[in-house]
Amino acid sequence: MKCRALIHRNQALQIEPKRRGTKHRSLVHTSASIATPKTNFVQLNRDDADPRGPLFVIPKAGNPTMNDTLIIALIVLAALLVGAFAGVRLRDRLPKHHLTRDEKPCKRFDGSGRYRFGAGAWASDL
Amino acid sequence: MVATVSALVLGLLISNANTSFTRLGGQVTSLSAEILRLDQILRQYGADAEPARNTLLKYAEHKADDLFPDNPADVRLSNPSTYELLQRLEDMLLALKPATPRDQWWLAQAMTLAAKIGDARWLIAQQIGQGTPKAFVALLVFWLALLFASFGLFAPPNLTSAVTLMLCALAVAGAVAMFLELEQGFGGLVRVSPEPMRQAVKTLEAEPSNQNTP
Repeated sequence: MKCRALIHRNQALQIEPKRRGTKHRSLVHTSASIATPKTNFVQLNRDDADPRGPLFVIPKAGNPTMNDTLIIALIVLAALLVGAFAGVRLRDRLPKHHLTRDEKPCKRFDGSGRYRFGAGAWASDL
Repeated sequence: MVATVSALVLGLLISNANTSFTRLGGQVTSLSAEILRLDQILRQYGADAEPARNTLLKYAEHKADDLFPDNPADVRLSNPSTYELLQRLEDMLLALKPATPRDQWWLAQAMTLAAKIGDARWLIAQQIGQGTPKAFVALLVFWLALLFASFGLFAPPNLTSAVTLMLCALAVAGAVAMFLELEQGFGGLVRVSPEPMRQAVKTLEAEPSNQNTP
């Protein structure tokens, strides 16, 4: 039923403006936007002279290449290194008392039978 | 907490991408199996189906070239000319006039398989590019950058820490690259195996034309 309603609506959008004029101008525009959506699609026409429009549409899947992934991976790597570098720079600028929390030990027992060392001990608290 | 969430999300993304990659490989295998089965059925039908068999061979060749070209950048998942071949094949099947109930049964099977091949083609084409949203990847990278900032903040300033951080960053970037590759499926570093399709094409090419009618 829903489909039928939609089809009927589209037909009305295409036919009615010719008879009723300005009231449906916006509907004509809507109809045009329905007919040719700005999406990543290829339209296959039946024939240039065929007024029935495109036979069917095929989505452009794009050409996935390794370059895209490689570039994204490089961006991720750069972001992580920049983050680490920013942390190092921040450490130089921060007062010492911000970096020591009650004389945090470099090595500590985490309660599960294991020792955590250095940055790992701090990172586990993050 | 950020470390735990990042590790969880990264692990889930890799697992999800691996699942979709495996499913895609299964669909390609199904497609090749259906092509082979259709060819076998058309052979059973008889000499009337020879033109359809030739079209099927062309379709299989085109499809294999579209999915697995020499240059991964040339992957064409929805090549219209290849799909037209499949439509032509369906038209040829529809034009066949089965004389006996046996032929009728073979033709019905062939039509079903041709429809399945069409379904597989659309499924493969539609799945690609529907991976993880880029915004989500960006958020994940932000979390990881924050995590590495904390590492840099608290790590002792020496060469060992620097090298370790570099290696960790490489590992994480590699993990991100891996799940993006797995999501793509075709082309690139990690790709679906072309062997089933190529094997199907080889089999079709090797099969002699059937001249004996039932």
